[in-house]
Amino acid sequence: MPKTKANSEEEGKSPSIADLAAQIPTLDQPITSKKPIIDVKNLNKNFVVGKNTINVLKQVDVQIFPEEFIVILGPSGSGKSTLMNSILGLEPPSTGKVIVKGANLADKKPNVLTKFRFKFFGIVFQRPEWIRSLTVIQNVAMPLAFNNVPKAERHKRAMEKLAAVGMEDHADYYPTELSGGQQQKVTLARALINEPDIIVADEPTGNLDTKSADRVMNMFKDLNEKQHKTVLMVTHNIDYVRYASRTIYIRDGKVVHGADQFMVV
Amino acid sequence: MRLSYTLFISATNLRRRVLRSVLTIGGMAIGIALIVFLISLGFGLQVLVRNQITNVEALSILDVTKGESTLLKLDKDVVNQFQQIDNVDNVSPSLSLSGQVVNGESVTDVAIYGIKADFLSIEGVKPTFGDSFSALDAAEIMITTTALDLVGMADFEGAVGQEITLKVLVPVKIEGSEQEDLVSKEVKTKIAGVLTSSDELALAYMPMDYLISLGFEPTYTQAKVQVSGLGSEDFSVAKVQVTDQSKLPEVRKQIEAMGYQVDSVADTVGQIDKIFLVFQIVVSGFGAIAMFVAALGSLNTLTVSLLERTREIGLMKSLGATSGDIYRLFLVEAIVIGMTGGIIGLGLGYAIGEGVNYGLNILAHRLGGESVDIFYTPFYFVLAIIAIIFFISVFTGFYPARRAAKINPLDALRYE
Repeated sequence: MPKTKANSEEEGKSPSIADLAAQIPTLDQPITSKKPIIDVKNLNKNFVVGKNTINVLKQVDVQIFPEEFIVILGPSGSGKSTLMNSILGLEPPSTGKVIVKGANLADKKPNVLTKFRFKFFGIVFQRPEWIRSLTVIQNVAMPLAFNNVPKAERHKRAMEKLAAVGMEDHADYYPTELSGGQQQKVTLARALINEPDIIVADEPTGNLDTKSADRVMNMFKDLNEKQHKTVLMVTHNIDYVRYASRTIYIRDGKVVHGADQFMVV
Repeated sequence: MRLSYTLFISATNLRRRVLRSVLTIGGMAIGIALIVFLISLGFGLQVLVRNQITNVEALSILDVTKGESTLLKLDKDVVNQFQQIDNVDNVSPSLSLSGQVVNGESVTDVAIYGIKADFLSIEGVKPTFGDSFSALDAAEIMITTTALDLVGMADFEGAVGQEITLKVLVPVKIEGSEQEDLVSKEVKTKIAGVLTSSDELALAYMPMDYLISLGFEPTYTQAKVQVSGLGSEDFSVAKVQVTDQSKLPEVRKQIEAMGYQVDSVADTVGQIDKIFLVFQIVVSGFGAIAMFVAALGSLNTLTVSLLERTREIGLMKSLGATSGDIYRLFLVEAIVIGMTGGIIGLGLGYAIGEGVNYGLNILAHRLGGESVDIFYTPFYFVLAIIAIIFFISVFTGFYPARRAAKINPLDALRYE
């Protein structure tokens, strides 16, 4: 049965309360006339483990607008990954709705949902995931193959995306031959292959040293600022709040507001 | 997901685990090779034995005799009646006599058949040396090498055109009674052709009209009585040729209803076919066991591969692969394993058969025997094997493919 992920990493040193307070934007909602690209309404998610029912998400209401850089911040087991998976349609809601681009995900059949996800989302996992028998470029091009893009075009587009993350020289390596930072860059290239509007990343720097992590984070920032992608990043690392245009704080399955946000960190 | 991409992914996966792939495909190949080898041997022996007995034409021929009956007649009128039966192509009567071939001091017994012109073609007899009869009433003989050998004429080719003395034993009615007696008469005939008999029988053919004409000689009155009776010859055997082998039982029934005894080479061949069918079934049984083991190997490989690639399946699903894509991926992988193994096995089984055959023929040559083909792989059998392999592959692929398709991408990505 699905369970929220146990996060084994040590949390970074806690900065002082004053520093944190300065970093936290005061508004829970951006001032915008745009319609939300992602609208999570009254979302509850329960997991049944044995005889116990665990409420992982409780009455979550989140609106994400185009071109925002959202960091979902919360400690391990807070339900932030479950929220992300619900937004991706990988986790069906127990009650409530997840509306992406005006469509309720729960109304879609699995295969339609798969194609929908491919169309609008680029996904970066915490741990780089590969088809180990394929080379870097073949891995990057793979999502296009699922959608019947011809081979020559797949290759061309994959090469462009690899170049965008500075990994074009490693196209013919096998992913497992690369370092963690390099792998995560390639994952980012793969997430961009379908030109998605929204980039979703679950602890993308979780396995990286600080230097590599900064490089990867700057790429996300560029994507958000230069290519106008909506970025949705899940992390437990308070340092990344500085990249965000808005931070959503989550604790014990609830989105927390105002002064309670200090409790999260 | 296109089939070409599915094939590509399967191929890269098989290459990634080279040893495992080779062992699994090898298992399949050995299973198929065993089946192809054994069944080809069965077919080969069957064809060999059938060819020893008869030619294809002989399968459409019925031998009609009077059997034990003394009341039935087998004469021109009856022959014409046979000719009237539907699907009867040709009826050629013959009469058989006992005789002896004499060459100087050497004498040997031969069976002599008086025949009509078309009898030879129906019987499928062709002279090895010389030719057929020059005329339908010529004093000529076609004789087997075995008979010539027995009378010391080893130069078969040179024997053609030579004269040879024949002592014919004809049944003669003893005057004043219904009893018959055998009387020996000598005639000189020219050897028109020399035949090779695979059964090493001493026999000879002569034109029927000539034998009848002999009966008009005063010394052959008795023969005439026997052979031509009251202006109508009574044949010992009538060969009935049917237009189509499948019509044989029908015609046979009709002739048997008339009281005649009917024999056919097809009877013997049918029995041989039955024996070989049993052989093939037994051999197929062993082959099926080998295939079953190979299929289990393939199933095992696919299941292990499925477990190993759980995370990859989750990844593919989260990146836009549908459950159908994943299902086809595993099914195609099963088919790739099966078909690769199967085609290698086909080639291997065929090659081993040919190799064994080649070896046997070298041995046969050294020992003075003839070359034979004891392996025969009919094309339809190759097609059937390919179809069976395909079926087995798909069958072994079903279970892993279904399991893979059902995997929840989130669970898969958490799988360690």
